[in-house]
Amino acid sequence: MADTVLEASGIRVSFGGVRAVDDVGVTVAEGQVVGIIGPNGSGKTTLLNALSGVVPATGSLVVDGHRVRLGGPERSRRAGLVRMFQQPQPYRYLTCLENVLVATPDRRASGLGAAWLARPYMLRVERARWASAFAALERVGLADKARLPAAVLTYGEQRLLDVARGISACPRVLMLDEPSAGLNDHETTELLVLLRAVAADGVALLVIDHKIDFIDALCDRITVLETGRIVAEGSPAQVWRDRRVMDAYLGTAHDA
Amino acid sequence: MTDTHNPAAPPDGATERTGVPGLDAASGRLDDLRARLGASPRGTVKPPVYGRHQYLGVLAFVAVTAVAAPNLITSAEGTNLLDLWLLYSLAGIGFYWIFGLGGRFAFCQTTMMAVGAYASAYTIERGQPFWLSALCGAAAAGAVAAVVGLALARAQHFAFAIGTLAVSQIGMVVFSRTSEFTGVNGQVTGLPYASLFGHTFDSDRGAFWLFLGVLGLALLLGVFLERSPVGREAVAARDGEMVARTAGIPVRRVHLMLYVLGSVAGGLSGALLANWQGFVGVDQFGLDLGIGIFLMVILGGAGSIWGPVLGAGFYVWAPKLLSDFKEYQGVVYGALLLVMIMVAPEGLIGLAGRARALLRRVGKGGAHG
Amino acid sequence: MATFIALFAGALAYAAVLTLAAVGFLLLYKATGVVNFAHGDLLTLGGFLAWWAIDDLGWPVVPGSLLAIVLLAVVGIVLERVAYAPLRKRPQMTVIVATLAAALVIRASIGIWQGSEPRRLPGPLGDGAWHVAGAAIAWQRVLIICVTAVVVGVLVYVFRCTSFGRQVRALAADPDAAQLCGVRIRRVSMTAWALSGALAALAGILVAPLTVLDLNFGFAIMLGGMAAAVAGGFGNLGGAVLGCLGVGLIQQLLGGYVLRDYAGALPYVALFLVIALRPQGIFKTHAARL
Repeated sequence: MADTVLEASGIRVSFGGVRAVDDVGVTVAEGQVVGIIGPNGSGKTTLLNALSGVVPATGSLVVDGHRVRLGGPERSRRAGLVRMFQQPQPYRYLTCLENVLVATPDRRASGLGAAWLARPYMLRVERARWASAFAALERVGLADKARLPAAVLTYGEQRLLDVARGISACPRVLMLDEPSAGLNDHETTELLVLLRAVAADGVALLVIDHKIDFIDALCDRITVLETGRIVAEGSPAQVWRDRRVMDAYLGTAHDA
Repeated sequence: MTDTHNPAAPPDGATERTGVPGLDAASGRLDDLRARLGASPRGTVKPPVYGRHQYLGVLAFVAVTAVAAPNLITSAEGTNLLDLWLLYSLAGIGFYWIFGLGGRFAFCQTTMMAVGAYASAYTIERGQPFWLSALCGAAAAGAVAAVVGLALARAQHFAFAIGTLAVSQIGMVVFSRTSEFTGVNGQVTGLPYASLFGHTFDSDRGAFWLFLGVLGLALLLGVFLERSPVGREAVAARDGEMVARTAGIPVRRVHLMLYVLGSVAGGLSGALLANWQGFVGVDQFGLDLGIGIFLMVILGGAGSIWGPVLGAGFYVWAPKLLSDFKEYQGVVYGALLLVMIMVAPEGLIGLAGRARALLRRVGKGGAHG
Repeated sequence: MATFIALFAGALAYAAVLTLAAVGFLLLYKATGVVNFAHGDLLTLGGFLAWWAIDDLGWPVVPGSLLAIVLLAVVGIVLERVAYAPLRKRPQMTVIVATLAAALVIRASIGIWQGSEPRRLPGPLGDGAWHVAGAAIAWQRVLIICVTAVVVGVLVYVFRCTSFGRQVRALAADPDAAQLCGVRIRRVSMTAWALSGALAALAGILVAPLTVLDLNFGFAIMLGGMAAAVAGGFGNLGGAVLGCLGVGLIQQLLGGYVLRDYAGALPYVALFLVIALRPQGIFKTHAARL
């Protein structure tokens, strides 16, 4: 049984009077892929926002046995949580290579002091970073665009750039928000293979998506949310058989 | 962790062999030389900003200016404007670091120039050598910026701008009233000429060399900054702050550092200005110059360190071009600012870049068609 | 005692000046989200237009002032069409720089039109003073206090009870939703700019007789008013009034007895402290949808 990397419980997020996420918990083990599905507005993205510290939230978050205080993006990042957003977020004026470099966990010689007073050392460290960033780009198939500005990429390529950023950040937990949106069948399959390879490296994955086949093939366990609450949880086979999941997606009779 | 990562390299890692013995031997020796100098091995994929053109640009600028300017501009008025251009470029570069790279609009750059001017005047009147007083001026501006920057650290873009506006207004009042530090009504006169290594810069022509050296150094330091993680982290923090924070970039530290750095540049510019003119007055660092600095950076281009240099050139020579239409100066500046911000927010440098890309595309089309 | 009353009256009058300058600015911000740095120069323009009507056209003081107010409402609409509407979708910094540019153009245009020598604008009540409890309070100051009270009252009524006020509040809360509900952005925007211009003229005309009317007159007052309004809480009228009152009191009382020299910096110190200590919740920050 692999070690638990992420253990979140009792996560609550409120906006004004609305409970966007209500007492949600999720557990991910090393190398495991957990999917989060549910109809629109069920709080999936908000849950990721809470775990990555982008929105204020209450609850408990434990990563690798250490408690992580919610509400600070820097804290979540230090704990090893790396987040990909629903919309691609490229830095348009940076090249693809720089986009990936910016996500590196290696922060040696990153300050002004090093840039001015320790250039030979900084350049040595930089070369190592360039190499690993380029490797990440190769892995997602964007190597030939390394020196182009991210603004010229297509939507699908921008998504892949986000994945490259996520991988190169050496995360403990990689959280992806609808990574297959905008990709065709072929690209989706390639992404599937890539993500399973990342999980095989020992990274814990938390994936939100709508494509049933994709989630089914990718995930070891699935959590289903509706209006901020968990309605079902278990292996893909268990979840698809659960009546409540059907109701959540299609609505029950008396909702008409 | 390998250092080379050439996608075209053969899998066993051996460098390409052309088959021509002399050539292969030569390129092998070149590779050794590169390794010994610490340069990147051939074929390393690196961000374009690390190309050689950056250094060449600075070198070319300094060389061309050093050669062309004294020969082309010989009148006293012209040399005076030349010196002013160099000093304003320095202040503009500071604003570029704060606003162009850092993405935060600061109203107080002229206040930092004034702090530098007054601090340097204060120290030089107490008998300190010129180089020390200039450094004191720059350091004083940096200290004030550190305090202001820390106080406003949590402020978002707009609140930060308003906060620095408040600082600039406070500065105006303080400078005219604190007589022991800034002279009666903020006027300090009778400052001695700048002197360095025993040489006194007592003419505009002499000062030109000093200012060109300082500007060249600032440009070099700016290039160093952009050829480092700092440059790309600044752009990331500017363009996508929340995403940058989730990626682990120390956004607040980057912003504070750029603000202090930019203010130090402004302070140094003010200190040099004070010593060159021989006096400091509170009016010269007022709203007109403040708007002038925005104009310089926005007109020249806020996306490049060369933008302020170009814009400062315009700002310094425009009054001469408009000498018959002095009252229209405000209208022209305002209209120019308005047009630039609406049509070409990347300034003249951005337009030049766009023109170059367009020409390249036209050229390609011509070759095929 | 006489000094205290004089200072207190001075504080009220100064607070009223700041409030008058700030309300036009505030109204525009609430309705359109634009921070109009040209507002101060609109104040100056109002003063100069009144001066032109009174001095060049020979009109009596009150009709001349009214003419200036109407003209400035028109100027507001022109500004909206020319400088603001094209920039509606642009980032905030663009709009700020654009309004700064407009300020520059307006100020320079006034200079070209009327010359830049300072002049004195006459007030409707002449230069006399009201003597009470041994202190002399200029009639003009009393007028300012009264007019400001009326203006604030009218604005509160407009915001609470009229359709225009409701639309402005809706736009301020959520522009997209408001548009979907039928709020016509263009009409509200133009009305707001016209009102803002008129209020600027009113402020300029009332304050100018107290001091010298020159090209920088309005900008300084606007900055002070903005500082006080933000320090008191920018988003709403009540907060802005409180801020202006607070600053006025501190400046006159403290500045009158102590720290005389630095009194001019007080609104800005207050502003700086407020921003440093409470940076959120002062201006609406549009968090990007991630």
